[in-house]
Amino acid sequence: MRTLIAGAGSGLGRAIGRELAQRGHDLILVAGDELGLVAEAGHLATCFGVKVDVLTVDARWPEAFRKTLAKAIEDGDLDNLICTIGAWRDGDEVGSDGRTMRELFEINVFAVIATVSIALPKLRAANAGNIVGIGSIAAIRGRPENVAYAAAKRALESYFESLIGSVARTGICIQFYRLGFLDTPAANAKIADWLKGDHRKIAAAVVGNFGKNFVGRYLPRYWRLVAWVIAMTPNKLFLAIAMRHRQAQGGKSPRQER
Amino acid sequence: MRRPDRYLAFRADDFPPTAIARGAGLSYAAASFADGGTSLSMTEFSRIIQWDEERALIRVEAGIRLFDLFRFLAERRHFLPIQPGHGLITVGGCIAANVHGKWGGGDTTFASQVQSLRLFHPSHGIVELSDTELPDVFNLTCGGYGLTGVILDATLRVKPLNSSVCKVQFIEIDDLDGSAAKITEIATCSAFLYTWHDFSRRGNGHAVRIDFADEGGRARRPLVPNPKSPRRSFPFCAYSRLTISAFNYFYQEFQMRRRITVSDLASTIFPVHALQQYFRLFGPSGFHSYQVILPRQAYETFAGEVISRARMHGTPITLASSKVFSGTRSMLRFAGDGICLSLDCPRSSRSGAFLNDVDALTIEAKGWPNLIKDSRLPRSVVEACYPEFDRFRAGVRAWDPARVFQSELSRRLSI
Repeated sequence: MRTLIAGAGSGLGRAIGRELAQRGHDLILVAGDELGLVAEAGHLATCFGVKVDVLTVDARWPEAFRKTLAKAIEDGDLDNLICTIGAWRDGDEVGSDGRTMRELFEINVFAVIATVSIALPKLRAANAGNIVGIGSIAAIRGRPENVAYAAAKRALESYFESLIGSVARTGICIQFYRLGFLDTPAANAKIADWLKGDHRKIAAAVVGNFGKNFVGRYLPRYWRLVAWVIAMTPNKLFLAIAMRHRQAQGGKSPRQER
Repeated sequence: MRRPDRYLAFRADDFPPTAIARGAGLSYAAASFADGGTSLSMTEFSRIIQWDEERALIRVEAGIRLFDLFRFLAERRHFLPIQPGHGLITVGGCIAANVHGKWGGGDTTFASQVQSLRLFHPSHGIVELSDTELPDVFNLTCGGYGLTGVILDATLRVKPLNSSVCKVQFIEIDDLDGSAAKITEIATCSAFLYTWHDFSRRGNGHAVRIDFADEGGRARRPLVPNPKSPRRSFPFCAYSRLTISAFNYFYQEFQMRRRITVSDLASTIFPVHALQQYFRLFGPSGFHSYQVILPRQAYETFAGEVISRARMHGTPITLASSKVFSGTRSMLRFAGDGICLSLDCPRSSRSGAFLNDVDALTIEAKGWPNLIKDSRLPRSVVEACYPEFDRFRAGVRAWDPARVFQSELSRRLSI
């Protein structure tokens, strides 16, 4: 088995890579952090004895991203595709500059769509495999911050809904998750620790769901309740809580990417 | 505090103006506290990058915990002989503080196991350091308390492991007189050695001699530390001269009756895992730890003086333990030939005066204290005990003129 993980450099992508390596999968790791990928490949090969290829590429540069990925996928087998790639930015607000908006859509939507488009013919030819997409709890309801990020994740969910229809009656399975906060550095000090999911357990759940078809499953599962509360909260109260949370965060947080 | 998880965080254009790397955060001396700056937690950098069994070399990231490394190596019949007693400490922290263990042979500090390392400094980028590449900076970094930059990874020399079962012998030490010669003699023929002394009496106690045994021996399963376990303390300090005196009496009796026992290697190397209650019983005020290397001929007099000063100040000494040290002194490294004495006592209004007395005794005995064990150690004592203090300070300032890397420890010592 050979699995490509786009966004394998940290957080959930890294954890899924370890989970798969533990189960004997060979891997193609894709991310922008070259030193990190080399270290991760060394770790997986040393600890689990699997073959790991690395692709250092920045999803903000679509042409280079597509070319590099296409070449890597052409060159060998591919059984599964995991798209944990994603990013958010400070200052992602209504009225923020178009560059931030475009960049966030490029990373969160177009890079994922490009990856799926490149991998899909190979999976169709094998009539088997899994494609995993990662959405966000932020897409449940728009807030005054994370505007483009939330919109991009909602767009991505819609794309995966279409994808699940287009591969119906084939052996390809699609899983799309709405992810809550995890205990990764990306969520550092953003929310109470007890609400964060264990990213290793989440990775195991993602791999355990191979072979199933669904869009919109919550991970961690208890975030389904949080999502229901978010959806049902009256607008005035929701905005007041969102603003208060933003103030508690000091208005700013370090730039974070997955 | 920042918790980076990718190497892209180590760029000059996105680096905080003052920072200090943080491993497990278990140092007693606030070496990873960046007062007004940024502590960089390295816990996400915990990978085993390369394992070369033939050359017995392992390359690991700085944030890997000793216990995780121990498990990996033990499965491959190897081990790292020199490591401190707590398995949650990271390799980066071990290098920065040049820690030691209970290993009895050769150089007894962690730096002797480091073949090379990679260091990040915003002005120099990522540099490779070893005995042959930038040797001065390598020397500054091993035992440099994180003041030269962020240690990213290291290649360590490991040893083959024939057995993961240990035979533990308890050998009585009747008196402090003659104890230095006795423990030095036992250390030469054992794998690991430390002593335990009853400083509430006259310093009698026992030596704990540990040797590798046949695998057939029965050993307990090792205690696995839980990094998330709460560090709640007892509501008050349970240690007084009376309770310590009673405990020490029964503990000595108990060990002398056991004489010989069998233990697994993990429990032998990481005894602190079984001592969590000991630390909690100090209560909310906490405790002082003091560790000093003494010339062999000064050890017994020094220990005797410590006992009488502790009585004078009414300070109970909850732990007194010794190890044999060997190796070369350099910069601010806690290393060199001699006998290392470790002391713990509850933190109180009287303990400060007692430790000031111990500082004076250390200077008089020509010993040198461990900077990483004592959050109180004043600069004057460090200057008096470390002849290369100024050389270390000048070296750090030459490598890092903007003083990007600072900590509570470096500020206290004006490095």
